[in-house]
Amino acid sequence: MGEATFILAIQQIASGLVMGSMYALMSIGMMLILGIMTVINMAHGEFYMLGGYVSYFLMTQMGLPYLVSLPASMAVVGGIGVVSEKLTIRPLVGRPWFTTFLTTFGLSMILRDGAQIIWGVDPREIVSPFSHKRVVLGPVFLTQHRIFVFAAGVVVISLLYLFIKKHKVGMAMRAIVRDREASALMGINLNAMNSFTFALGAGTAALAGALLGAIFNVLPSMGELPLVKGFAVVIMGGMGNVQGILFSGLILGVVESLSASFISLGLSDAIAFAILIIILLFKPTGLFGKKI
Amino acid sequence: MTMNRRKLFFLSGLILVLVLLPWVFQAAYTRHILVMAVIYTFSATGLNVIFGFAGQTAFGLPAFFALGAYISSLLALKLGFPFGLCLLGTMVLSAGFGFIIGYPCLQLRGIYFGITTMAFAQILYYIVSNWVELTRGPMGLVGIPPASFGLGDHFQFVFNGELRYYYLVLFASLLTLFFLARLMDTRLGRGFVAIRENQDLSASIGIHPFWVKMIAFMLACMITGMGGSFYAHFVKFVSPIEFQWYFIGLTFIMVITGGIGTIWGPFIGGAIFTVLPEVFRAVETYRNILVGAVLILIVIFLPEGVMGKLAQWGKNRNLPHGEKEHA
Repeated sequence: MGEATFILAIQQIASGLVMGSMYALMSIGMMLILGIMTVINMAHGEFYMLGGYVSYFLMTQMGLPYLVSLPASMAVVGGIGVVSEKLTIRPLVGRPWFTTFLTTFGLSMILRDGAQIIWGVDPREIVSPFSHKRVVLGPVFLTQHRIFVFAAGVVVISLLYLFIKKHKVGMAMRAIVRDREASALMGINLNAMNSFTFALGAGTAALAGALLGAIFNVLPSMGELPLVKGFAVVIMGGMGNVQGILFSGLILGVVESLSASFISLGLSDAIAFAILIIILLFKPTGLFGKKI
Repeated sequence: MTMNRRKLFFLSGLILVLVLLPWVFQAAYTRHILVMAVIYTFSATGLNVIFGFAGQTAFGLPAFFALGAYISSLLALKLGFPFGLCLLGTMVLSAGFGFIIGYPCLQLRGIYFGITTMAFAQILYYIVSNWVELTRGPMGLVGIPPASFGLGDHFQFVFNGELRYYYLVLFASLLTLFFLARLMDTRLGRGFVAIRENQDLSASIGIHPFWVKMIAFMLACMITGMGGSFYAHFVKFVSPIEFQWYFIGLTFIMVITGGIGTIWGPFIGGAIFTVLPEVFRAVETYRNILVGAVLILIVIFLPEGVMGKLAQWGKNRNLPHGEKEHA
């Protein structure tokens, strides 16, 4: 391995960590929705996509600065999440879990094609104030924006971790994962918690979309890959484990980024699933999961 | 296979209608849609075996339709196999891939099983899109020969044209359903249902859940792959687009609308939901939105499907006569 290869590897690891933090951000919402509501949210990628679009339009139409558009798009998409939950998940309480898989799948089709009809298929570019400033860290070049994305991802995930651990609502969430009926008896409002969880998931997905929308472009179909990779991370990380998700997301990002430059660019997207399958074969509870 | 008279009457009527349909709709375009409708029923029937009968939510299964189409095309194009061997080879190889994919996936249950099969479906998609030397990647495979049966060069019967192909696929799908109906009356078929109802309990009465599920999964892959083979030799073009997600949703709609775990339900659902998007094609841009909305509405309001409703109706009608409904 020559020096050039080594530097390339370091560079790829750095960009892999940036992507990985976003995979983790997507996955935490999916994990919360899966754990608390027993719902596989197939529309999660569309919330990610909507986050990108809302941020784009808040900036171009209303002239908001990028940093303001991030929380604003989280709020808007969180609201869309609440409405979606009422329409596609609430009516199916008590029915088998695959029913909500199918309704959210339908929702995903509606949202994606709706976006395509309203906004067209042309990619939109979010201009982040940090996009064009380069930072040199030893042998590694990164744009300021990528560092911002990584930092934002890690900070939000840490806040979520603290929220789930310490806050009363977070504790209620953990209680529901343990035992739905018992927590309802203790006075936890399950419907409200479902709405809140879905809004939280949609909001974090939107944040990821708005952050990555400034690196890649915003497209109606942009949510598909983050969705499937998000699931891979959820399973890799093991259920109910925020740190596990963060590490799995970072591992996936790095492995993918390394394989893109050292194995094959086209197949790097398939790596996530190959890792997933290997993990499931040897450690079905996930890398960081505990035996149930 | 015991049947009451009402069922026999219903089935013979249905088959008669199916045989006569291409004479009602004689335009090449409508006959094309009829052929596609029957071809997609394989996908619905395949999913019904693993999801409807054995209760395993194999979200990735619809990818076997595309896989079957690719296998069959490659057998014809690269190895020069005649159609009969392509079909047979697709069935064998689809079941083989089913084993390879089923082995790790079936270690898991429920949601995790479902997601993992989907991960495999994605891997297949990436391999097909990227292995350009074999599959020509996104350009797809062209020039797939039409279906024909015969001995040597002189006695070939070519299924060219929509009408001949319609009867070919109709015959094949009815045969599949007949086989499936017989299978569900055997120990193995009841094993599928036992596992759907309660896996742990069925294990306690001597059913081996892993292998029974594996057989169901391989059978499902085989039936779905068959549909892909028929598709490839009819449309004569396959591309990675056949792996699209839309198709997963659509296949589940077919099975649920028709009636989960009934023999005929997915066939009917498959036919309806091939024709319906074609009807919606007039509003092409809104097609996915309409299909998505129909999916949501059906899951919420019609959980037992068309056949489930019919069966209920049949049961209620039969009750006063004291006849016993045979499920």
